[in-house]
Amino acid sequence: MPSPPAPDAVTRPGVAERTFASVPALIAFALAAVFLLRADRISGPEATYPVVLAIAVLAVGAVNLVRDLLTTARSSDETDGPLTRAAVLRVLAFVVVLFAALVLLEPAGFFPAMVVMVVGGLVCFGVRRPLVIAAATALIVGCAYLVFVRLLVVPFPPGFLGIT
Amino acid sequence: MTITRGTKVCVASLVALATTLALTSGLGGRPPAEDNGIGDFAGQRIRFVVPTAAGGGFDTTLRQLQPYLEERLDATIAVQNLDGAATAIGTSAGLNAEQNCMTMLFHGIPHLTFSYLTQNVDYSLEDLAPVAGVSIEPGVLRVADDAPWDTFQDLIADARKRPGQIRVSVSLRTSNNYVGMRAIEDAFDVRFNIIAYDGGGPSRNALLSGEVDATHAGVFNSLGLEDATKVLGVQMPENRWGDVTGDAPVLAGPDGEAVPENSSRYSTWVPTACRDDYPKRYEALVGAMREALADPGLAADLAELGEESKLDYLDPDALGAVARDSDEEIRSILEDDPDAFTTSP
Amino acid sequence: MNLDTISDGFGLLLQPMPLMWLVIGLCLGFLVGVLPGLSTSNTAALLLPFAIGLPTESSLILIVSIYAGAQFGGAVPAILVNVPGEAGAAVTALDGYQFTKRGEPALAIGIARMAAAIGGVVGGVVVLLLLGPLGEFALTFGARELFVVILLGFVVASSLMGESVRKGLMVGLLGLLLATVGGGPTTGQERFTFGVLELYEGISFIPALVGLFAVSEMLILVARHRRNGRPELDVPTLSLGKELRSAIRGARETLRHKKVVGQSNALGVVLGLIPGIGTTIASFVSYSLAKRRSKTPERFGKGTPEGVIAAEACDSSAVGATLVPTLTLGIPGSATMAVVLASLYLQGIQPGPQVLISHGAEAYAAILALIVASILIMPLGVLLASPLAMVTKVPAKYLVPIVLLACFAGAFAVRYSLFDVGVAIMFGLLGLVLRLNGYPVIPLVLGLVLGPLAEENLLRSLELGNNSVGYFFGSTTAVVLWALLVAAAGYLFWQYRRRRSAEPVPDKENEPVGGNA
Repeated sequence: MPSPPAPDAVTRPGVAERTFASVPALIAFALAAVFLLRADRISGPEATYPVVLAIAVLAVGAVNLVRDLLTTARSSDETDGPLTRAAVLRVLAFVVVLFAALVLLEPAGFFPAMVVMVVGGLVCFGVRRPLVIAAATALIVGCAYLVFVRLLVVPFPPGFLGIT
Repeated sequence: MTITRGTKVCVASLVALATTLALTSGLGGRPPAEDNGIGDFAGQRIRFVVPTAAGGGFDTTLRQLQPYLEERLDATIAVQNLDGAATAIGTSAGLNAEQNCMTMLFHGIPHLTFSYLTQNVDYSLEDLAPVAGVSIEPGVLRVADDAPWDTFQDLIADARKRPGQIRVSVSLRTSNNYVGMRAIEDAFDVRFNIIAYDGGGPSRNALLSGEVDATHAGVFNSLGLEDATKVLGVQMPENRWGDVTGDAPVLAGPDGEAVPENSSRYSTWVPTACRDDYPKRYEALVGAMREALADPGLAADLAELGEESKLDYLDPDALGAVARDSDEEIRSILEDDPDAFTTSP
Repeated sequence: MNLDTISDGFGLLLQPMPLMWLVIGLCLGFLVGVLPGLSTSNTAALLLPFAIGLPTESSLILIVSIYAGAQFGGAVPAILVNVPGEAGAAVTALDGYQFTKRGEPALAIGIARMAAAIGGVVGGVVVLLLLGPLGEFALTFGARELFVVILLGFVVASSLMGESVRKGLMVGLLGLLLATVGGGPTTGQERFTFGVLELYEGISFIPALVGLFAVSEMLILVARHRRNGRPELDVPTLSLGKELRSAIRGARETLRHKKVVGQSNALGVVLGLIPGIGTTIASFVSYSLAKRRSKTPERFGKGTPEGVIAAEACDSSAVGATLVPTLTLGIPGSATMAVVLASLYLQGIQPGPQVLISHGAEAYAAILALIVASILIMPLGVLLASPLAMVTKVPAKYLVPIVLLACFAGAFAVRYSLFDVGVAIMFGLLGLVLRLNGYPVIPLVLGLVLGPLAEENLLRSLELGNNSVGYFFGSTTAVVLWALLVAAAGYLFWQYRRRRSAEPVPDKENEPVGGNA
């Protein structure tokens, strides 16, 4: 995530900002490297195609990594200007909530995990009154349950509580 | 906290939606905990997992059977198509559902065998209890009407002259069609250019468009090609399906050398826990399936499509035996060549 | 073409019951289209036991109108909250959502509705008049021809690479690489699945799309949240009256862009005919082509009517075209058409060239139903879409959890897999990181959707031709397509050279990028 915005957008981005700017290239580079390492398990033309692609991603990824690290101008984004520290923390907290829900999906079941997601989401957005959180969660998850389970009969697997 | 207009709109809409849905959806009962047999299915929603895509052979056959089975069980059947990973995804989903006989699987042999022998799954034949064999899809070789071969022997002679040049399509490498073609190659010491497509439909269409010279397919699954193609032979010991194969001969060499028989069998299965924990329900399912398959209405429906001869009931013991034979056959191929179904010959 | 049979088809359709099923199907399809992940094919399959209890024409009409309704329904959440309800609507979101961001969602919906209606009618009429010959045309596309079509798609879609070539190229290649995950296309050997069964069929496309568009957008809303209680999407309150006015404005706006409408319809019909291409690819190609041919390509991705028209008109005309191989050859042009096929079988009808003789009236009734459904989208769409537009008034603190819950439930519903919910979340994070750093996400989507088709058809062609390059030029259709490919590539190169010599291009890498593009 980028550091708090510099007062002047023309100034050179800081180390943290540059590191964040190079994350996409780093992801591409890392994925291509993993794919290349695993390519020895496949054979024939079905191996050649992904190997060629992985090498290409490595090459372009390396160029991007260097360019993004050495960049002198801020990367644009679609968030109406650089993110504030509070925005960064809010997004990070929300990502943690999403991961918590993801981890809970299988053991707890879909809807209990979604309760965690909705409650966490509301808290991230600054909702603090327990009654509002409880009512909004019950309403949102309850409606989703009725639409997907009762009306559209989507078979969510039950978790350890026996709830889907 | 200030309540904005948007919040009010949101709450009002959700309350309205919840009320409407609660009023319209009703509350379905759960099956009883104890095992009472056929009565347990009354009014229930039975889930039938089909591990291939909607519109395919499994799906169509099950849907043809569905009303007759629903009538016998006095239940609603919800068909769910969960395709992928050579049927392993749907089979896993069916086996991992609540094991109270309310979830069944519509599968095929050898598809089921391939799913656990070639995929990274945690089930085997032991985890499934057979309910009934439903239909048979004998393997046939089809060529275009204007193909240069009048007989199977002509085709073999041509393949001998041009090894690897004659293109034959099969649905998947993990299919009885591929096994059938490999058996033909071995039996006559010839080599075809066998092209695996991603399903029976594309494989058969390849013949229609002239992309391949022949296709190895199921008799009934390939009936749609009847107008533009002909059957060179049926890969079974005898041709009981003369009406839909133009009375084609069985596949054999010039001196009558036999080719190993080849077919797929569509069938119904439940998780073993259903048979072991709810024996009465399991027996009820076996009985209902047998009766549904004998229903004259089903035979009449199929007759309309010229498919009445595809029904081939097998009781659980016979179906289990067919599955075990298939397990042995494919296991032995894989023991000789672990990559038999994943790399080109 | 047999006018008597077409008129018999009309006779079958214009009865109270078939018309009632048409309206029900359209509304149901709209609902399914609005919810991401709930595919038309699954809904149609779910309704199949019920549909086969109806007369043949009614069951076909019901399924076909669900399809038509869903194609338009998918555009509505794409425009309102950047959630593509159907895969093809991802393209509509590129410009449609930008309309919402500037407070004009109703206009975008109006344009989408009109474009979808025209696309559906044009596609339906072409199919109606040329059903037989078009079926034969569809048959000329084998593996080698499809491979060249995909290459053509890549060339045309290169306009969606974004402003920075290095960034667009990396993301596009990454998409192609990720598309190799799963069983190999010819031998089925496992590639990069890491033992995960759910990856054997590759990365599930819809959850990935939902992640890249909707989840990342919701995370951006989290970042942009203002604590003054005002909704983040500052949209004027909508009412039926305003919606009607917007519908008329949208219709006018659509009709102003006749060229885009015409070219998108033609592309939709041609690409829809070819089994395996699907409406998603058709929409992407149509959008890219519209951008390439536009006098103001820089407005694409920032909320231009042409972008919405190109996506919706093509999507809807392709729907009609997928009926051709389904009815005349028994080859399903899409997953929903596979259900149409199943329904034909269950009704005792063997699809194929003879279907026009044996059940011509029913077949034509289905095509006519598609045309009528497309026309009915206009009034019904106004009634159905206006309440949904209220979603933009919901504050982000509630909107984000609601949309994410719907997205995750939809991601699960694609194939009832919890793993796919994880796919949606991971792609959401990837989309967020890419977008925050000015990387375009569209090349990733293109790589994911075109990659598997390109590889499969390339490898199959090599197998069919015993590794001979000559095989790729062995049919008239293939040769014509190669010529088109060379011409398209040459034209692009010429255009690039001309632009470079005309104006000195500044470093555009760090200029703002629009929307998802």
